[in-house]
Amino acid sequence: MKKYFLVILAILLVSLPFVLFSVMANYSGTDDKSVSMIEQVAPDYTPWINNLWEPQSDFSEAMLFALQTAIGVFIIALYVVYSYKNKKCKA
Amino acid sequence: MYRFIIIAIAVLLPTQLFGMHIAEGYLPAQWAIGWAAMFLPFLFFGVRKIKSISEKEPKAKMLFAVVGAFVFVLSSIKLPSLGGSSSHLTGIALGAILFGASSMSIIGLIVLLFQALLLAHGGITTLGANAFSMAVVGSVVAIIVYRTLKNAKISSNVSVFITAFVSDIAIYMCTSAQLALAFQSSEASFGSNFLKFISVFAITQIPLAIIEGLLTVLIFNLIIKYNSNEIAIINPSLKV
Repeated sequence: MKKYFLVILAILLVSLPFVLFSVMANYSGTDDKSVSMIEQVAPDYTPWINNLWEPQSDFSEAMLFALQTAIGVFIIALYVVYSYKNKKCKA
Repeated sequence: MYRFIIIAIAVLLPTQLFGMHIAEGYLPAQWAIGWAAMFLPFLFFGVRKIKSISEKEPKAKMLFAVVGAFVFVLSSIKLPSLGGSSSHLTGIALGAILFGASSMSIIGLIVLLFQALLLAHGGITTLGANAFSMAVVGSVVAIIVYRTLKNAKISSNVSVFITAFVSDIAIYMCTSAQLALAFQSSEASFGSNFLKFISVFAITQIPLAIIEGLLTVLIFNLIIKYNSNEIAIINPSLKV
């Protein structure tokens, strides 16, 4: 069970940036779609503020998403390893 | 800790006010402020709750980090879904079941800030509305569903799966409602707006909610396996 879980994590972590990048290049997210829906429902509305900072390219955006994933996976992996070792010591 | 969060919010609020999945600038100011005001009490109780829990059980901090990391991972996974669009998961239900609804407001805020500032995904002005739908509605729905299922003696795996699924869908229904409310006009009623927005979110979200359910079951079982004693102290009313 645990081995299986770690393998899944590892595969996710390695493949994610590439998956993300290809996904982002080809699809528009629901967030973008909701924006075009807002424009359709309320044509006169203009956004009153822009993002302070935006990733300069699709690639750097994908990498930042991957960073977010990596932070999360890292913490979960630490927890799994820690718990596993703990259990082994007790046993 | 919570002083820092409150100062951070106080500094950030006047400059921008958009939240989770509603893009920056796409919520009129009065709505942005209103949703932020509704979110703040939950954040306040969440910080207090986490403080008292971690005094009772030191390992709670570690488990809270795991629950937060789970939200980090899931909300960063963008998957292609129906209709050629991509969308992502939320991972809120796990923490809501284990730690209670208010605690998730802290994690929701951190994740949304990260995405708003680094990824231009969501925004600071929409932060209140997005945090409200993700962290408040998502986790309150999760707790209600989970308790109902457990009281009906449904097995733990099935309960967790359905809880995560329903919570994910509820978040997107809430976002749709928020947008529909903000953009009501004589030509565009709340009802017709809501249907339009829900058609953007909910349908693409169904396959993702299934994935979310499966991942949540996986990690829920992992935490219960290693830390059932700690969870019993953190959340005594939890039925596993």
